[in-house]
Amino acid sequence: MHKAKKFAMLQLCLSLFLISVLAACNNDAGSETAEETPPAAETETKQEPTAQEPAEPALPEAKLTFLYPVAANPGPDQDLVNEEINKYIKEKINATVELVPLTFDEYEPKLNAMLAAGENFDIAWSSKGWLGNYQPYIDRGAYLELTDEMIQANMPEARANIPDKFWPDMFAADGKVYGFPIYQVAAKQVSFVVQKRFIDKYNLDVSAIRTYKDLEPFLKTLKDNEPDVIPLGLAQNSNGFYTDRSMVGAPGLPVSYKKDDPEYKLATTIESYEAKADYYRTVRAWYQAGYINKDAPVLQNINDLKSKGNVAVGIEFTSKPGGEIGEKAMNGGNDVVYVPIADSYFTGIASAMHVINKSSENPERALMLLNLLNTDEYLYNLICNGIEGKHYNKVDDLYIEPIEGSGYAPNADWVFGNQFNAYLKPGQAPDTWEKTIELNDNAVVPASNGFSVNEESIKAEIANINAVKNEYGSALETGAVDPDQVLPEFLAKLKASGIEKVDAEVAKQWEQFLKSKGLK
Amino acid sequence: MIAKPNRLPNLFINVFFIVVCLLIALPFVLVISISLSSETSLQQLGYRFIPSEWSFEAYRIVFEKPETLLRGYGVTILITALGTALSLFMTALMAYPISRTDFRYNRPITFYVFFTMLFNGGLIPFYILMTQYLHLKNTLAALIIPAVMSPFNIMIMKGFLDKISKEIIESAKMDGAKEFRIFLTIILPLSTPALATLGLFIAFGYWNEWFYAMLFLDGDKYIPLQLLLVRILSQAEFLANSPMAEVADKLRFAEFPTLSVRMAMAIVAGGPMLIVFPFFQKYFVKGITVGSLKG
Repeated sequence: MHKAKKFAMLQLCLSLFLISVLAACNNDAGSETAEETPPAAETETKQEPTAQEPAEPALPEAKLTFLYPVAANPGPDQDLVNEEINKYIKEKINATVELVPLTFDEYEPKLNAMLAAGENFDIAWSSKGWLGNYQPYIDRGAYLELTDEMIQANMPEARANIPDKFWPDMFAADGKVYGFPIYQVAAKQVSFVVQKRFIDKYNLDVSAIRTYKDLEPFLKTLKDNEPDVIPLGLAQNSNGFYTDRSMVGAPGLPVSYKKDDPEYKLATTIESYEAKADYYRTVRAWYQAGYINKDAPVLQNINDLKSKGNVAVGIEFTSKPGGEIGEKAMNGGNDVVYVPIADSYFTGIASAMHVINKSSENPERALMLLNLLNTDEYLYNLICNGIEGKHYNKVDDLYIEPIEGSGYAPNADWVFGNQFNAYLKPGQAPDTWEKTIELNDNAVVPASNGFSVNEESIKAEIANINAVKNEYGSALETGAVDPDQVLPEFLAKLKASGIEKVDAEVAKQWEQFLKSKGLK
Repeated sequence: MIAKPNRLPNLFINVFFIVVCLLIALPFVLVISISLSSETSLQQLGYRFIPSEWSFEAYRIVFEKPETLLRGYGVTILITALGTALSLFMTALMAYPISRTDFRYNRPITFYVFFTMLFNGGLIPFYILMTQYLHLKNTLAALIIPAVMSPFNIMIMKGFLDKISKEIIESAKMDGAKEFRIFLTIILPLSTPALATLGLFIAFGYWNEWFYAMLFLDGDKYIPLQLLLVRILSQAEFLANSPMAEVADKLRFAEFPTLSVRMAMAIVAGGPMLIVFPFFQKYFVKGITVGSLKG
């Protein structure tokens, strides 16, 4: 009996071992074949130039697959639009594409699984720091490197649309490019969001407001004349509108420095806070005068307050042309105007891009398709809005009117290609795209673009500092406490948490970064 | 008997359980109430047990496209029924032999089952197995097969079957029954409480299924109810909050009653299961205590 048991145990272990070995073999075989296919495909496509004897380069037919995220299922006419697209691109580049829209929740796990399983698709959507995050997939070797030659050969027109000063944003950690950006708004600006009805009523000269301080008289007027209105609505997710136009640095940037400083000398955290003392006093005075809602330091989400429609002025950190229309709904249906109080900062063109799967069989053709999506207005609007007359009606050259419940509405212009080719939808200003391009072109590209702090050696300090910041931050920023008393206390605690060590480390890395960029 | 029964402990127990019952029931009432409140009243006054302003808007949105929703119900009911039946049968079929002490390999096999409970391959190998070896992508089977046998359920079932006295099996053998007959006509009927309990667990699992659907299904054909609801919700949240969303859609969805729709969905999705639950209850109590008591 006992022996039998032992034997059974042994058998089991043996079989488990065998199974795992088998599984391992299988995996190897799988990955081998997966790796072997692309070179084969490459040789196939490399024959293109040799087959150039007829004047027109006769491209062999290619089938592409295109994965992208959408907020909701585009509708039952997806196939119909897909067919129409195929008809068009078949003529242009002798290829057909299978569109695979995935909803946001599905996109990341599915993309991950499909890439890991070596599944055969060509184009996917990616972004830096958000859905389908660029870098981790590159580290895994999932995407194809896009060399300058490849881009020049297959998509010169699309590349020409992207300003060169923005291009470094596409570099991955290894300095290579793996994606092609979807050009759209690439800058942000801190603005006050002021309800239009009050601007009109009190004749506020919006153009005279350059920094936060210029708003004070208006807040006073509101406080005196509008008892039911919160002059300046703040919450934990909306505070911190201090701006100094002589400095380069915005919320979210790792460093700040003087605008005209050729040395790019880092402003330390303590210096930055000391520079803000006056701002804290101003906010404190506003809070005491009742300009700011009393629950500001504890209110979690400003939108809860705004939706009642009685917040006269709010803060928006990512104001962009045309954004006012969206804000209107958030402000209980009241029209709002953006009043910028800082420079516009370049935020990156890599927030949305297309990448090519490494096991794609037709990478060149995929790039050609991307070129069309970024330059061909007809194709772009077809994929964005569907078929004219069936899914939308043209109002004039610029505007379209989507047909409600037409069966195709991906509502995702920003996943398909250069957004400045899109028809405008009802409610958008006619110069939305011009204004956006202008904002992009004028955006300050900080020297710190591409710089991020390696926190490995200062992890503990950063955790402590964040705790201190959480303790004091929103109270100071909303004026709920007296800065003359609390700010020194705050700074002392920051020092005790090792802020100087962190600053020194950041400064060291910053120097290295500047040297590597040839700025020093 | 003693003169007067002390009423105090009794009263205390009653009050205690009334409080417990309220604690369990009130959240449900609140959910129903929220789903019937208008969004503006929710934003201004917060959640209330009696809606200050009634509105069926949330249900109108959820039921806006009844075909898709009914289809979702259909798929969910189908996979729940098929899946539960199949899963129960397979689980019993697996658990019975390893509960028999006269089965030579009962211990190694038990260990083998147990082992999979502790270690699994992870998502990617699972995905590869499902799509490239079993070719189950875009099939209804992809929603049923992964959950058919759960080692945990097998262990529970085995625990129950261990308690059935082996003499019954022996006497059946005496009477000339073969193994299959014993299993089907003696063991299965005897383990009804355990089957009902597990059945409920399994049915809940299938009813709430959305992850496999998300992973393995493209397109709309077999989308189960829960995934449909997940989609409606994430769509609304995205359109209302993301800076990426198109301005025109943002406008439309900023008025989307997110708070009440969420609750309406909870009711639509969970309601049928709430109704089913009481019918299982009598078995449920018996089945769950089965491990603790003999006889």
